[in-house]
Amino acid sequence: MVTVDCHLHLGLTPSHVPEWWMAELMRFYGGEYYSIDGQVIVDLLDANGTDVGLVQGGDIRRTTFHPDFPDQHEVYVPNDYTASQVEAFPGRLLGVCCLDPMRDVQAAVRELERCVTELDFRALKLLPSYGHYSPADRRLDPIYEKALELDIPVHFFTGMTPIINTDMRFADPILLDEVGRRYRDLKVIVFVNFPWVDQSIALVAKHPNFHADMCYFAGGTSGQIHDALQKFRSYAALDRVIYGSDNSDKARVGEITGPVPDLYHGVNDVAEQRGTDPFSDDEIAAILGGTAARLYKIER
Amino acid sequence: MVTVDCHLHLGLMPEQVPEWWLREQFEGWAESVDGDDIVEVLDAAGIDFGLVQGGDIRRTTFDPRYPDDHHVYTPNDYTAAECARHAGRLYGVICLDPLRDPQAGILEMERCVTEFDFRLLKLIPTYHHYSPDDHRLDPFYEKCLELDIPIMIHTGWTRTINAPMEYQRPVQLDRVGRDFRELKVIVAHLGHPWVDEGIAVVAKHPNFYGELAGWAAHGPEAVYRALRKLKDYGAIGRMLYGSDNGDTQALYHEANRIALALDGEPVLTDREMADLLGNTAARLFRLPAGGAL
Repeated sequence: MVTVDCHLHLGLTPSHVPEWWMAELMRFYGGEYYSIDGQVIVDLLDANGTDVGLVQGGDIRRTTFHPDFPDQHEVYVPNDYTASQVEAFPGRLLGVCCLDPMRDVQAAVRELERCVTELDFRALKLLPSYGHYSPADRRLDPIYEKALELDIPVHFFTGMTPIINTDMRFADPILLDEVGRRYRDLKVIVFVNFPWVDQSIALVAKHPNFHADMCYFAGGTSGQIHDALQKFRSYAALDRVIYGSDNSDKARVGEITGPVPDLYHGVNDVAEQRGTDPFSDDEIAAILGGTAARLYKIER
Repeated sequence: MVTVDCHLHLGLMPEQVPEWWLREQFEGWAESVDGDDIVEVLDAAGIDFGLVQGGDIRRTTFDPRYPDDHHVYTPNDYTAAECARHAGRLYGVICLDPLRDPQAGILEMERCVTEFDFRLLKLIPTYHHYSPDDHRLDPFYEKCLELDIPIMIHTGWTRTINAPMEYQRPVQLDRVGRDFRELKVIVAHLGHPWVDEGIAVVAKHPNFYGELAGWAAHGPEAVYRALRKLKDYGAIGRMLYGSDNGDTQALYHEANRIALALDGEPVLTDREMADLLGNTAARLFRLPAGGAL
């Protein structure tokens, strides 16, 4: 079965992203950063034994601010750059449309259409806390309606980020509940993230077309993934969980490092230790790619 | 090494606080607490310095059984008098209701710092029925920056029934952190039960601090889990010791024992323990680094 990583970032420093911004983003994790092009992502996929990666750029120009760098707002990895990297690695990379919907809603609707119909992008990514808007803001309705018309999922960032100028009120996954109620057929991908992991699980479970991006757990342990997967199973939502790495190339479990998907293969060792029900090979395979292949219409 | 308890309450019953209010707040317990009592707590715990607070909750205190009894008010002058009686051990915390009269509140802040040498402003949004990201509070944040004092903000639960829970969430401090990046903010109680949210705002904002007053009720495992996450997010060095009128140091040593069993190493190194118990607070409140005892 095909394996798919739903969460990978492209971006060149400093041409797309200023140095201070990357340093702020990476400050919890050791402060190392580097430019990421399609080749870097394909190397990550190879290291993790993953077939296909969904790659995203980003446009945070309107709301990027740091008092020490008051003129540097240029956090912008254009969709055309994403398309060029996807084109360089056919069959391995697929594009995710990234835009700032509040810059110009009508232009954003047209850009989404262009990315899907001309560039074959497979999803839309929105970053409400970075863009200082609620995902339930009615001004976004034309975007959601276009996503429905194009039959692509909308992937939302939620939860904490080290970027100080993000507005955490809009990072709360509960704000997506209204989106789910108003657009029942819209396919939504929720970044299950600290500090609202349980709320995200409940939200995904509630809405039949919501899916869970698990990339937060790429830096964790099989035990943490086991606990989250057991909760999804208890809500009968395990078949809407999809794997993502957020550019992580290795899982760290104590002194042992290995490919990130190994964390998922380790959940049954945890289940055995704790006396919980194990996960079948089919269930793990669905998380690592089968479910995402249907969602993103990946044929292999 | 210096040790500091940053979260201690004064109040005389019934002249400053009605008995019913204390019984509701403390699950049946109701007694007066003056400076002597606080110094006794500090001595028993072996703590050098205590930050003591009064409070003014007159505007929003209400109980249907006592509809005319709103008088929850331990004035800053009383706090100052107790600090003066125990000079070198107790330091004052400014307590006021910022929405009673904002201009008077600003003047009171200035008076408490310049006349009484108070070291901290305390706000209690849930008790006062406002969100800390309300722009009406901005003059108080600006005044803290001007006076160069930190602010402690109550987050999380309280047993006081008339305190709306919608104003207890730590995420409501995020705008304060963005708009006042230099302001030193202490997230009191780390937002319990919104602990992960409390950790997230402390981790996100480099001038935010956390403390676990009242956590004796939640136990050492909860303390361990919170400290573990704070450490993972690089924020363990911004934790302070606050007890809510007791000796809760054992919680941190117990958390270390749990960490040893689970992770094979303590969650707080000796240095981090010393920083939490006083070094960080001594810097923040400009207290003598050599201690008092």
